[in-house]
Amino acid sequence: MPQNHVADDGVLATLQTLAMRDDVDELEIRLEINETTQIDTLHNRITRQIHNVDVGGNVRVLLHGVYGFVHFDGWDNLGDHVNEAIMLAASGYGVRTAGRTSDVSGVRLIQRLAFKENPLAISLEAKGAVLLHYADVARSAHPTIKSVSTRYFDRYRHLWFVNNRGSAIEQEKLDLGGNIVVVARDRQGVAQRGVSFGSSNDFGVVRSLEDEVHAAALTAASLLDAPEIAGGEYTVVVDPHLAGVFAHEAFGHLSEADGQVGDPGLLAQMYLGRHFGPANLHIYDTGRDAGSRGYLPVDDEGVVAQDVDLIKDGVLVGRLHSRETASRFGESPTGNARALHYRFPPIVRMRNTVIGPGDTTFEDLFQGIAKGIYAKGSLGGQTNGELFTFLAAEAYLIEDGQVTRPLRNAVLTGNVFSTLANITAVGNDFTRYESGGGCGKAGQMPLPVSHHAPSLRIERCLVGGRGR
Amino acid sequence: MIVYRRTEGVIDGVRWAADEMGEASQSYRQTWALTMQGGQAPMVRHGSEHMRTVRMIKNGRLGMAASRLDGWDSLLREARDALRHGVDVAMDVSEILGGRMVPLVSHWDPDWLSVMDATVRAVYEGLQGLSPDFRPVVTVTYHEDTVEMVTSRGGRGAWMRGYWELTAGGRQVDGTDFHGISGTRLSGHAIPNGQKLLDELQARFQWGCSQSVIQSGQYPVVFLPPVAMGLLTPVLARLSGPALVAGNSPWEDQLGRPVLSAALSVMSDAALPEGPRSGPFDDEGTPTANHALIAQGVLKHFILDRDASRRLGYEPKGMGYRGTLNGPIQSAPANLTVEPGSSTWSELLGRFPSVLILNGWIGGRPTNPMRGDIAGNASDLYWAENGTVMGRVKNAVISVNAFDALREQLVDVGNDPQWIAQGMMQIAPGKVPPILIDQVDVAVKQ
Repeated sequence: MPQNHVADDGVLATLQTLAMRDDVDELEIRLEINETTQIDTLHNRITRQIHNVDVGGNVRVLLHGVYGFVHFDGWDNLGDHVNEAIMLAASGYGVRTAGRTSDVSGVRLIQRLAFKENPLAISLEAKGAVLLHYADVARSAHPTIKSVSTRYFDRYRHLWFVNNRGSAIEQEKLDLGGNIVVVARDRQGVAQRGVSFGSSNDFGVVRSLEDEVHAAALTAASLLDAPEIAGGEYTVVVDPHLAGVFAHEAFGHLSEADGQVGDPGLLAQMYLGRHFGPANLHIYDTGRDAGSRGYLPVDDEGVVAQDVDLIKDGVLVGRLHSRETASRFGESPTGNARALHYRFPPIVRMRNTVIGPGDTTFEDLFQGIAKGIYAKGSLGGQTNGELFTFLAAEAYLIEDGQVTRPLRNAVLTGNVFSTLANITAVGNDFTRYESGGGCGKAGQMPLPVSHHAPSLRIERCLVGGRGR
Repeated sequence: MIVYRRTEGVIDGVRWAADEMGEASQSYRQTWALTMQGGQAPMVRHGSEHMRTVRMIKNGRLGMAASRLDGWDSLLREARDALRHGVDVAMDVSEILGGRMVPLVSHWDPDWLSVMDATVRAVYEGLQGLSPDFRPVVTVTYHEDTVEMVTSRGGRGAWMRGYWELTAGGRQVDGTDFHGISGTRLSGHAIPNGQKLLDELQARFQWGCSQSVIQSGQYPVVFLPPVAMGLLTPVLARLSGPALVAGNSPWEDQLGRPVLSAALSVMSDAALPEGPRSGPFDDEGTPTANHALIAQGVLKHFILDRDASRRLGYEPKGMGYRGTLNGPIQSAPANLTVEPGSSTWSELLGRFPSVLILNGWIGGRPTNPMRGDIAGNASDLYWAENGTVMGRVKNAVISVNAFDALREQLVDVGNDPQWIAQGMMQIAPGKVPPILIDQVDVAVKQ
């Protein structure tokens, strides 16, 4: 739980005065100071070094079932912004509907960051030196390595939030991440592999990546002459990283209640109590995992984080909520309303989406597979609710239960519902993986999220490819 | 009433030392939007942003400072400090020749709120009529950017870009079948015609009301503009500054040589009236012009910002843009256009006895842009026979190599281009026609 460490500096009290309006149904005011550092390197030089400070805020008003939302730079004329948000909500006279939000009691807290190693205390030069060191490691690993690019960012956010329900919250947040991308090139073509990292409290995750970078370089080189996968249905074993992306893309997004509300067809499928997957499948979303990029003790509507079981013992048991969706479903808010920053309104998003460990050993996951695919790592994924697609970073052919040779362009795809039903084994190799990417939804990207998981075995997974 | 006034003149008070080269710019972004989505409260939004940026070059190093609040003196001081540990650059700054002086006046009219309201409501209600279970979402947005810039070479100018965007769509879920449709229209000075977009979406929904079953194999596929734009992503990657500077682009020595089908001409066009990036200058103050990137299949120009241009020995052509107001300059085209062909829609469908029509591609982006391999789950795919759409195809993965597809497999280019907005996955807005590609690999799960 968040702790109240220090006294209010007066900002909250000022905002509370502005928020006490009785001519609206809901009113929230958010102010932020965001400090961002980004460093990009290519080969042996720094190509971009950015340090930005953003100061701004937003006002969100709900009036007669219409939201008015105003965002602005600076902290001047806050009263005018409140009035404009009210005016915008009132202007939506033609689209008025029955709007409501869940009535949560006011939350008052001040939360400071607890760093392991504070990135804000490390100079730009020192950060750049770490990245360039990894470029050296990769280039020296194999003669086909033609370029190494790295990207590092850290974002410190200081937020003040009040609403007209009595909430007054001051929070500090940190998001840190990046990647090291190694490109191999020869007459056969081009191949790449990367190492990714992320944290919400520790610059230490950027250190000691030499072994991973070296391995990535060798993998990129080995993929140069890999043949393309032949499209078709395969039994697939996915590593913990890709399994985590699967949980996020294939099921997490489907569990976001703003995608379910007002959709009777989807609700007929996503009813609580429905069986999904094997009996030992456990998928949950949590904002309370300190250090992970999905750490979110209080969401952007001032709701304290709840752990949300989505699938427990193979049965659908929950969904992710904002205050509005919770109200419409008659359920409790879960602390999943998130905004990328003050220029966006909060919407329902995941935090750290987790598949719990199973009991199958890694070796047993491959047993009995005559011809299949072992997919490792992720270059991203996407879903439209029904369908999902992952781009695996590496893929290998499985023949008679053995991993035999690398393949390229592994795109795993399928129907969410049937694929969940086709999970036949959950590994016991649960792994916490933090990447430097992020989640995109409704133009808000990249939002920091995490996914922790074990390996999975999935039957009849559709894999795209032009190989023969 | 929203009152939007700009009282500032062109940037004043920026003084450069004799041995400094630099540019100072300030950008204002205003956005108004109205969204209706099934099951949720409508939202009316207004956002305003203001960003000041200084880029200073001295002894081949770049010092940069950006702030939403700080004054010029503070930014100049910060940029000078940043020179000490700045990155190596080859760029210079623009003279901003040929620009016109401010004041510029916002085109926003508060009365438009009621027009936006009526447009959104009409399209929303039209989509609701498709089916009792259809869940619509409709948004109309007006974007307006104003940029002011001065440079140490005496350059001085201001310019404005503004456009409307109407997006609409939704889905009907029946069992585990999601029947989704979506479409976008852009326009320069008026809200796009909602009825035209609604008509198109209603027709597409009817296409998908029945389903067709096909076998895995190779098919001719019409890539409609949203996915045709995706095919161009690897092309842009090979043409753009970062890959060329890194030595990763296989096209680095292909200027003047054929790289794509002779039926394809791709341009960076900054003059289209409805183009989101249309304007006299790019975001570095470099004058824009229409540049053929690929003319009848022959590589003509790379996509280079000022730094990449100077590094590679080319004159800057006005292709340096920021993805976001506070983002860094990137090598990117103005508006990416593909020259339309002459074939009508029915002629495209008539080129083969049967064709697939692809409009949505979940994950349809390259695993390796330099190589061009793309495979994605077809979320919006139709089967047509003898020029008539027979139904929607499910559970199919489309796999192509973008370069093979746009070189050897390209059959025809349609005559009806549509705007595709810049998005999370693409670096520029584009105006692209349908493209017919033969022998596309399709894997189907039965």
